[in-house]
Amino acid sequence: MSLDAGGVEQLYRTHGHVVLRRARHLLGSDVDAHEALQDIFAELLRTPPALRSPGSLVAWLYQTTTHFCLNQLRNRRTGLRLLDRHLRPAQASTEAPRGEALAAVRQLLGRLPENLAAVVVYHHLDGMTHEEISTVLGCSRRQVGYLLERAHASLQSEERSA
Amino acid sequence: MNALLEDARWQACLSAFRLDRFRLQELTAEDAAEVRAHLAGCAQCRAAEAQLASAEDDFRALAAPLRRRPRAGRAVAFSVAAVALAATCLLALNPGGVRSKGAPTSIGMYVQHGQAVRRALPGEAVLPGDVVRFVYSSREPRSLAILSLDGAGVASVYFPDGPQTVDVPAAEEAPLPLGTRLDGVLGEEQVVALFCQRTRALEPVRQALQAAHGALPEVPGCSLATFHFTKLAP
Ligand SMILES: [Zn+2]
Repeated sequence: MSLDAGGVEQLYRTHGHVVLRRARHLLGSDVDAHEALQDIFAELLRTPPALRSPGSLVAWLYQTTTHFCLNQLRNRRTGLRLLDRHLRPAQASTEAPRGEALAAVRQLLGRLPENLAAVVVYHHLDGMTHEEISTVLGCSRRQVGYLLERAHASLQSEERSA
Repeated sequence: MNALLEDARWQACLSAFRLDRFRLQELTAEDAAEVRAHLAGCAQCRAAEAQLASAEDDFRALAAPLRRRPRAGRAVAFSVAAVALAATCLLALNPGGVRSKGAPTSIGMYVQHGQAVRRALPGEAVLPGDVVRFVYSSREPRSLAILSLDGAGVASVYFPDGPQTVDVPAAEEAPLPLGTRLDGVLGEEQVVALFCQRTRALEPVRQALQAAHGALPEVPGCSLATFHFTKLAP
């Protein structure tokens, strides 16, 4: 399955909200999330994807959004290293009760290797089962378990060294 | 488990993914019926579903129409095509970390852990004893070698098993013949592929890479593509 320009615009209208919501959640900023939404779909227009698993557009958009946002978080982290981190204003968070924990989680995600960060996002922030994650990633449930274990180990050592 | 993750956790028994697929009619009739029945009996999941619905309303109210082209001057740090092509395990793939605009060459890496083979992402976590194997893409025939600088700052040659670069044809994602079992040196390892116009001796390049302490050496007549991974303690 592949999408022409009309198909991408249609997809934007029907599925764009999934990308926007998750980008907002992952990036913690409305402005950044709207930029991410545009960038992801603009890139889809530029290089129409041949979708590997036409079974689930939702899975595919989850993947793309996660990848894009983790990149942003990593770049932010690089930016933070270059700037004085104490001078940088806190990003306005869009959600109240989980907001504080999420802000801290975003920083952790920016420090993990992407594959580990992604399983953490899927499992904890999206509440996905190992089975669902294995659908999105196209790997076995056992590999998902392995990745989550590695991720938790890395986060623990981050905590210890923090 | 990390306490922060616990606090940031998704607050319903059905995942956001399942609810999105339900709302966008991707589930089989049977699965959808199951979700509907669950929603009828679970206030928490109904609340989560309502959250998704209100995010959809926000999108309709607030999202600008789709721009037809990427903003000028903006570096697109990822490629959707690459995401879609990402093989085997583990989602997305930003090929080799460096595919500078128009650069006709890149490398990628596969990792074998036990029986399982997965496509490595930039920064991939690997373990001592895992086997890695590289793939390359080049629009032109080139003379190729793959070197690395390990966590201890020691440079070595992964490919080929000889003193100089080896001619390879133009190819897309062509695997190189040699797999390498990783040793026990932990930390971040930088992989550097040399795509040269003509055959080059590798020892001077290896030495330059080691002396540069993580910076990329200039190698005249060659373009470089890089990839990195992190070796963790088992
Ligand atoms: Zn429920």
